[in-house]
Amino acid sequence: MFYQSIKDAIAGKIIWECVKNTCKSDMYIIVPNNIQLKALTFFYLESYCKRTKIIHEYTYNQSVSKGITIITSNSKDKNVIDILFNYEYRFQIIPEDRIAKLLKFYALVDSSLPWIIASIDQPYDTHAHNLVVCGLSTMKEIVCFDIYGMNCVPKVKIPEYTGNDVYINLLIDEVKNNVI
Amino acid sequence: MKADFFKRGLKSLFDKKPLSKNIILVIIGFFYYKYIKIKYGKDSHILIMRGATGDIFLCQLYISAYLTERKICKYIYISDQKAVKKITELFGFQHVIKVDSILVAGLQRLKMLDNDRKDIHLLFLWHYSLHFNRCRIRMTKKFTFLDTYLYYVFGFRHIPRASIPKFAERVSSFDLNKIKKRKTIILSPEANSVHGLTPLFWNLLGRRLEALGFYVICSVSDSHAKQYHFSNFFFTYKESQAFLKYCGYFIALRSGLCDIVANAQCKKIILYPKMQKRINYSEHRSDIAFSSLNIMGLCNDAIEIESDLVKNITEKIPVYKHKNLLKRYRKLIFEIEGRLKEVM
Repeated sequence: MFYQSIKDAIAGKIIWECVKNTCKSDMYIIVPNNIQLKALTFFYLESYCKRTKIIHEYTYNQSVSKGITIITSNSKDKNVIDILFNYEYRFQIIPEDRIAKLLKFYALVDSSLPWIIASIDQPYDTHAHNLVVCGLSTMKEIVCFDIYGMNCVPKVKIPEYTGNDVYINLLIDEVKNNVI
Repeated sequence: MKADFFKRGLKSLFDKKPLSKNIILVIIGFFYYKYIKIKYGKDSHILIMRGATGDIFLCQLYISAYLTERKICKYIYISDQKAVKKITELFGFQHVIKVDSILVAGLQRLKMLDNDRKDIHLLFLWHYSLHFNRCRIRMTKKFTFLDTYLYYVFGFRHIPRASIPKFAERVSSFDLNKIKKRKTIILSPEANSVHGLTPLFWNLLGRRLEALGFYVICSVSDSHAKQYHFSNFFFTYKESQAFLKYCGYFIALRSGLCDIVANAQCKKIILYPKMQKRINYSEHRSDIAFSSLNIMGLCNDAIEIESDLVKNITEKIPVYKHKNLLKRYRKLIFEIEGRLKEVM
């Protein structure tokens, strides 16, 4: 188990180099499968970009190495961002097991990788989910303070969606439940 | 194309050092983990404590409740903190091992890499050696420093009863005849996470207090004792409460020692930095709202003063002109004197 973890971390490093060389972004966001966390991560992403002044202009000039890459295992996520938020981020769809290897690499490396990891149940994550369980904090605070490192919870307009895509409706409901 | 990617990826493995360095570190951690398991038993849990005096003390107050809640009977307490044994001695904990930082860092890495090891407990999640987990939310307005341990580290649903530290009833390590009983002020100018007041301030304050009829002593490490114009008594944690009770007064920068002596029967004046206008929640907080002894419930009689001369360790100390600095020092001394007269 231990040696397998080290092997995975090394494999994660190789995957990371591949992703980095392909996407050439300023920042990489690894989004979770947890639907609640994913919805809020997408919801506050633009506020994070505005605050950190990361601009996603690669869409206008593909040769410029800037912007954000969203790493996810769910290919539907790109559709969600396109329809709901109307922002164009670069996407890297990677199978679940490879994302797990990336995270093993992250757990070992000291140098600050340009990554935001939207998860709350690993030892390298925030332990703030304890605060949510106790009812002392909310998921939106965790996403804004601990995941995006902002100093407040910004006010963001909830996107409107009238379509019948089940996945998008699920994410919208999560945003509504957690933000309003 | 794919082969090229693979080659480049493999090459980069050896280009930069962090990964190889940390693999070595995690292997050290793994073998140390195995060694602990052989020595103390397979079912023993490893509690890793890092941080300064205050961190260890606050953690100790609730560690018993944490162990009881998780039904942990066999445990080993590992730390790289110098004073860990002196603090845990107050609570009667056994199996406390002070080890080199590299072993603690190795275990910490092992836990990070392999979350399935439920028998390793990280009790100091915001150590500066970790590039993640700055835990900003714990420093927001609704929480105090103690809450960090109660809810964040230990994850208690309800606040449990704290362990009661056992202090010595009498001071035996030095001669108390030199000290005026209940008329002595201990100055404690050193703190790990607060700074900004120079020895000049403490010497001016001490002189003023002597003029008011107090006997003034200092409690600093031996290497700094020469900077202060008063006798130095570096007392042990065990004897701290008895010593403070004997002396009667304690004036200190907000430090971990303040947590330990919070319950002492004496008049305590604690100096805090002012709340920063724009808090960087990834850094550090030592202001009254976050780390007040009274608000945290460690005592209810501390006189707590905020001053812009006192700075959080993450803040830079402004450079004042000497005349201006003296004026500011006098103002703070005047405030301390006023608060002291209220309780004399």
